[in-house]
Amino acid sequence: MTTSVIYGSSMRGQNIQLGSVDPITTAATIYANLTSFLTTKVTRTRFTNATGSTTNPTATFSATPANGSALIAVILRTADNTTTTMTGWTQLSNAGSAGVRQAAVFWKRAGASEPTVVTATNATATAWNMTIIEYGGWATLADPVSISASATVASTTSISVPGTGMQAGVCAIVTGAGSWTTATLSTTTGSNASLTQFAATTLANCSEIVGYNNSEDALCTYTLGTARATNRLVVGWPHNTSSLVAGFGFGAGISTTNATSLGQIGFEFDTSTIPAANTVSAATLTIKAGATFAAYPSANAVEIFNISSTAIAKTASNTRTVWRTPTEITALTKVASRPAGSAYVINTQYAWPSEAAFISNINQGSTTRLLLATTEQRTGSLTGSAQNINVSDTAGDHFLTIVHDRLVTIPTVSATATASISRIPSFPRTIAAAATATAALSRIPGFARTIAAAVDASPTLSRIPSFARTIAASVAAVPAIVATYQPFLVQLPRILRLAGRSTVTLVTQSTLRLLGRSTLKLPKE
Amino acid sequence: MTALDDWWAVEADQSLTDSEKQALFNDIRATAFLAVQLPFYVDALQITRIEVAGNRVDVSGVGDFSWPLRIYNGPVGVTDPDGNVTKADGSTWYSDPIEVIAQCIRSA
Repeated sequence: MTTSVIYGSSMRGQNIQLGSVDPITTAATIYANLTSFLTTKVTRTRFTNATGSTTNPTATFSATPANGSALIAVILRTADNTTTTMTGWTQLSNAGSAGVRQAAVFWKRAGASEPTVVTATNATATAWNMTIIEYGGWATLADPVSISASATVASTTSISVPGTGMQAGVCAIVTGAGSWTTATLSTTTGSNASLTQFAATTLANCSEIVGYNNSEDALCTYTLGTARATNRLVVGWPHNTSSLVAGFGFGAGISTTNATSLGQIGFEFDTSTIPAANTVSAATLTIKAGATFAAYPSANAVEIFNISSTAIAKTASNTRTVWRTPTEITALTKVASRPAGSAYVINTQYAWPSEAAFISNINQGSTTRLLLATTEQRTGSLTGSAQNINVSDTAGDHFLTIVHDRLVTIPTVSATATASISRIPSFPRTIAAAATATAALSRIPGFARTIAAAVDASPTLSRIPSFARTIAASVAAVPAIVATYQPFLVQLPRILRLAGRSTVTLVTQSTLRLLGRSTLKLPKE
Repeated sequence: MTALDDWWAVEADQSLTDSEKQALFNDIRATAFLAVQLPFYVDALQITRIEVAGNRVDVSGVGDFSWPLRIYNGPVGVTDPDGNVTKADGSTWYSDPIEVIAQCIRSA
């Protein structure tokens, strides 16, 4: 078995409630309509653009706006900045340069019998450009906000139009000190789904931006053919801004009032080092609290879900990857959960209790992506108070601990085994021959031990009778030598008696010596 | 300068690409982990061997644990309320690879 600890490779926190200018209003609106949010997009129904040089700019919708639609009116003036008013409409932004230009925007919720004609009131009669747009869908539930207030930009050919995390919005620029010849709107940071130009003159431009969805730092830029001083503004329906707050980290959760640290958080772990053939026996996610502040929901569990099938965009993207609706979260597999009210201290790491499903949701051989959300984000049943958590915004502060086996070549081994089985019919013959040889060899040590034991006893004993027989044969064959040789060699007194009829023959040159007390008795003849 | 200081300096260097940062992180990690005196103990476990290869630190030891311990993209210190190094975001850290190993072991 092996224990692999894999630190996070990237993470992303998205705060769907946080607006750019008026986050509290946006948060409360989204909170009230949470279950319908995202499933109902902001949709543009129609728009009308008109130009003129009278005191009161006016434009007419091609049809009666639907009851509840959000109506936006952008007024761009190229020779004056005196106050513009619109009865029954709410001003979102209005600014300009004295006697030169004005950029103003208003909005209104359409009534049951909304007039098609829209009129603004100015103090003086000068050239104007007016665009009116009707938005439905999510726009019928949420009010538009000023994303970037009308502001003066010094003479330049490059005018930034910030649009952080915008579902849909309208941007506009206006100049009054000579035309810019051309004005081209394009994305410089982030990725926009579409840019629609409503009005395009050499002094005024009004366009729609849709799809700043996942970009925390989305930016469009007007490029002018001639450097001009301008006023620019952006309004719309923001969402999907970053839930990052410096020192606080990424936030997650829902609140009716606190909009700075809400949302959901995605984590990415490179689990490609865990081979697909391995068996994972344990998996644990450890998360670190924020560096300087720690919040934890008192009435919500903090739950972890598998979103491995969806890459978490590190940078701007039009694809919504992290923020999920209650229905979408319910469809995910929950892999870990930490109870409501658990201890949570700044700058401290906590292991999230794993669900049984975690081990099968490790994306072995690839990337494991997890979503952090609260119980009410899953159920859509709201607590009524702020239920949020913040975690360190450094991906490497969070890690996965995975215990797995190391049989990295199991498939290869299986293939080899199959091949061996197919050769079995031929192997038995080979093995049989080898077995015989091997068996003989294997007995050699056995004999050696037996012989060694016998050397001490049996072989010696078995040869004794053999020697005895040799001696006996020799004695039997040459008895005279024994009888003759021994007495003389020892040189002890001996008596040689020759019984009757014995003959002692002394052959040629033989000598018979009788020494000492020797007696030669010869029978009487 | 601790290894963590070196690490954060690389982290904050906007002129480096991600791959360049990763290479420098690997160097810092190798220097820090290979300087650890062996053996040492984490609770009842004896750590006997450390090897570093790229972004991976292999740790072997003796005791009841699913060896080896393999740490991927690990830091060279751990966050600690009483740590001896303070990061720019205000968090406090303990600059010691041994603590990283101990934390990983205790998380298993």
